[in-house]
Amino acid sequence: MTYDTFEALVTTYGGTPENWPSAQRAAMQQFVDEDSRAAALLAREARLDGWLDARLPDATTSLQNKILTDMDAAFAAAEAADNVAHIVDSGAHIDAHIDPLTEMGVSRRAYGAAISALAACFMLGFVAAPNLFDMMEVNNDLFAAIDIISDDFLPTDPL
Amino acid sequence: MTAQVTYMNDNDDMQSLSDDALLHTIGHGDARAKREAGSVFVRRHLSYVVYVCTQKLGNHAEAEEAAQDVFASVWKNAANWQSGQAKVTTWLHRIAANRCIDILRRRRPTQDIDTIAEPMDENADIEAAHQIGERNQLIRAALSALSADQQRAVELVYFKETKQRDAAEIMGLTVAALESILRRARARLHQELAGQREHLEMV
Repeated sequence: MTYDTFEALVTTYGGTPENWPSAQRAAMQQFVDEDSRAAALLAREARLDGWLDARLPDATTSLQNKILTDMDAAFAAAEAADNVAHIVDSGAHIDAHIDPLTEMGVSRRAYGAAISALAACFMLGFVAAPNLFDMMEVNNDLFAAIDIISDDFLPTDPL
Repeated sequence: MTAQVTYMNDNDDMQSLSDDALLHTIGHGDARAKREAGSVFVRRHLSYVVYVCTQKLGNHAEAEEAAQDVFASVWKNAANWQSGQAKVTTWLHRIAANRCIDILRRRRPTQDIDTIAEPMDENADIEAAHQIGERNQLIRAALSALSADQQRAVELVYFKETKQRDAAEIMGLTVAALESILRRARARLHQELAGQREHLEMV
C-alpha cells in the first residue's frame, strides 16, 4: 500500500478500521504500523470521527412540530390578550371624557363599559378559544391545558 | 440592558442571530419575526434541552414532555429576557432543571423533596452541560456548512452506518461518486472545525 492510497481511503472512510473496506483493512492496519505519517493522519481522522460521534442526537421531527404548534398557540393567545387589553383601555379613555356629574354622563358611561366588556368577551372567545382547544388536542392533556389557560389569563400573583 | 437588535424577517438572516438577539425578537418582534426567531431557537436548542432533561429524568419520553414545557416557558418569558444577564444556555438549563424537579416530585409524591437527587455542584453541572451544548452547536454548524449531497452522504454512512454500496444506491450514485462526496465532506468538516479543537475537546 502507498501513502496516497492510504490517505484516499482514510479521508473517505474515517479513522475507524471497522468502517474501512474489508478488502483493504488488513493492509491499511499494517501500513499504519509501518508509516508514522499514516499514523498521524489516522489520528487526525479518528479525532474528527470522535467529534461527529459526540454531537447530541437530533430531536424527533414530531417533538419539534409539537413545540412549534404550541409556540403559535402561545403567541396567538398573547396577541389576543393584548387586543383585549387595548379594547378595555379604549373604553376607559372614552369614559374619561364623559362628564361624571350629569345623569347622561352616568348612563353613557355604563353603556360604554358594557360595550367594552362585551367586545372584550367576543375577542377573547373568537380569537383565543380555537388556539386553546388546539393546545388540548395537541397535548391530549386537559389539566395541562387548564394550567396554560390559568397561567396566561389569570393573575398568578395577587399581590 | 436590552439588546439593540434590528428585527429580521428573513429566516436565513435569523440563523445568524445570536441567542440574545433571537430571544429579543421572540419577545418584541412582529408576529412573523417572532415565529421565525422561535423556529430557529427551537432548532438550535432543542437537542440540548432534551439532553439536559434526559440526564435528569433518565427517561426519554418524559424528557420530551419536559422539553415542551421548557419552550412554553421560553415563549412566555422571552419579553423579560435581559441581554448580558446570563448565557441563554444557562437560563435554559435552569428552566429545564426546575421543570425536571417538578416532574420528579410528581413521580414520587411520597419522597421528601430534599432527598430528590440534585447535582453535587450545580454550577459544575451547568458548566458541563453548557460545554456539551456548545460543542454540539459547533459540530452542527460545521455539518450545516456541507452541501445537501454531502450532508446526506454523511448522515447515511457515518451516522446511520449504511454500507457504502447501499448508501450509493439510495443516493442514486456510483460507489466512486459517493466516496468522492464523502472525501470532500470530511475535508470541509476539518476546515470548518479548524481552530475549535480546544472547545471541542474541553468536555
